[in-house]
Amino acid sequence: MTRSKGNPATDFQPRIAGFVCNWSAYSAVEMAGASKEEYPPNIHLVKVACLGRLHPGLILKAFELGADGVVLLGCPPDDCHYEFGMAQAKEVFAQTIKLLNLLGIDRQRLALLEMPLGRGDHFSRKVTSFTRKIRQLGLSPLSPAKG
Amino acid sequence: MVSEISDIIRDTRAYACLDCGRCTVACPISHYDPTYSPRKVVYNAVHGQDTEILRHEQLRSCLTCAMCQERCQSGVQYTELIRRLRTEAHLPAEEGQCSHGGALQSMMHIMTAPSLKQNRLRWVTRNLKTATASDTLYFVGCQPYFDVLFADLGVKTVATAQSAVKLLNRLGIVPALLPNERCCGHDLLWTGDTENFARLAEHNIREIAKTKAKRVVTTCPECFLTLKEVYPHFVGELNFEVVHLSQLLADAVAKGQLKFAPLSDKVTYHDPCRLGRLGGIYDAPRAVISAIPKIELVEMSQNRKNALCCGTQAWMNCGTVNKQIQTERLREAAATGAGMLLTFCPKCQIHLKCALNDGRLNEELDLQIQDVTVLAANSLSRQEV
Repeated sequence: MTRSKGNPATDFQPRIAGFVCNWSAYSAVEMAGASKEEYPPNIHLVKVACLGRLHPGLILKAFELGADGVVLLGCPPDDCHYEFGMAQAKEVFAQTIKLLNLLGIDRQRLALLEMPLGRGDHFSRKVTSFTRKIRQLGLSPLSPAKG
Repeated sequence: MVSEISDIIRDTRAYACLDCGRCTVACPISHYDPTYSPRKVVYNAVHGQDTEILRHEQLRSCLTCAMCQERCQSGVQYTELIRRLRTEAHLPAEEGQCSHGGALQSMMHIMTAPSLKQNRLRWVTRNLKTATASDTLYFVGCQPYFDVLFADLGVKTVATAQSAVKLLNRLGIVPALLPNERCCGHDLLWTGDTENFARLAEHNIREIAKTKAKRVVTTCPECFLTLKEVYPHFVGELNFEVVHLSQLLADAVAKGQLKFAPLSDKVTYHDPCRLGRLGGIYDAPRAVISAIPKIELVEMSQNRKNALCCGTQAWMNCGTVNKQIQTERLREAAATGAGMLLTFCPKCQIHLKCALNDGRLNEELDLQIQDVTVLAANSLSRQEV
């Protein structure tokens, strides 16, 4: 992927990692595809069995490998397939935010979003706005281009 | 490859192995996992199974606790052999499965980024006197990170940092702190990632130089050993002295500069391997503890150079074997009748607290785990000396 250091609002193509829950959240992603919703191509999705399976290590790994933003796509807590998954994901999210603060990585680069079952429109809207935010924040301080 | 392995064999005296097996008898991993044998690792390295040994997962099992080389009559430097073999085996794209989801490895790699600006000094409360430049620098280590990652275990290593500054202040020392200190790199070094280790070392040396410090004090034994013994091999001679806080405190106690309030507790002390067997510091921590009036320091059966390891190393592995070692250590501590297990290493604290919180051990053993730094700071007498 070409990485430009020019005007951050226009040229910059951020790399975004998205961890997506297999259940409601992934159904929203599939629906976005089926209904031909448009969203920026910057997001690279990694499907997980449940967002509660995440660990700060996985999120930090994405940043370590050069992600400019990481988005966690989970399910509305009442719809959680395992009941406790989203509560666990929230704990991991809070813990990782603390680590990002210590590391000096802008906390806005990490987001936890709820995706209702089959709502492709919701997915495309949220991912578009997250990508816009990361574009404004610019390159991650860990990006090789920042060296 | 073959010539590199033969260099390692020569440098670490592995060729001098008499195949006696004392190492395996002493090894805490072998004690619980009969398939692991330091003797066999040395044998295989020497007898030409070099490439095979580099791919063997047992290369990652070693705790590098140095118990084996303490017993070795031929002077084989087993921990150095393991470290060098791991360096040979290291492939950036082929990191093994690490404990804690690899979070600590990622943080270490993230800290190699030159433009990173951390917020790592939020623990510095108003009552603590620190400076941006000073003759003495306190190298904090990864403690602020540990407290976030291990909050569920009740780990409070930041208290160690706060206590260290409090103790230094009491001795009239206002230490410099590095706002952008990086991990010392100990764990990258011991997992074989010397390239990223060198990046961290160079960064830290540059930052330390800015403070004009003539002396660097650490509380973490890993930082101590790495800065003191390893940095010179990577960045050349240091223009500062590296001391462990226990040495500085023991010295102050001997000179009567530090007075403590009485504490009628029975305590025992766990020697961290980097401070004890690898750093040679056994007496200083004990002198500090014993300086607290009325305290009773009792020894575990495996103490000083025979001290049992806290069970894990470099965040590389943790499983039943490691837990069994930790459990053995905790039972040993409780058997002394002490209510408090003291250590001088944040990682020993984390690993032993984890094992204590695991299962029902907590109900069975009435044991508190505390850093000597925190105990000393909390025991400071009210009056200045």
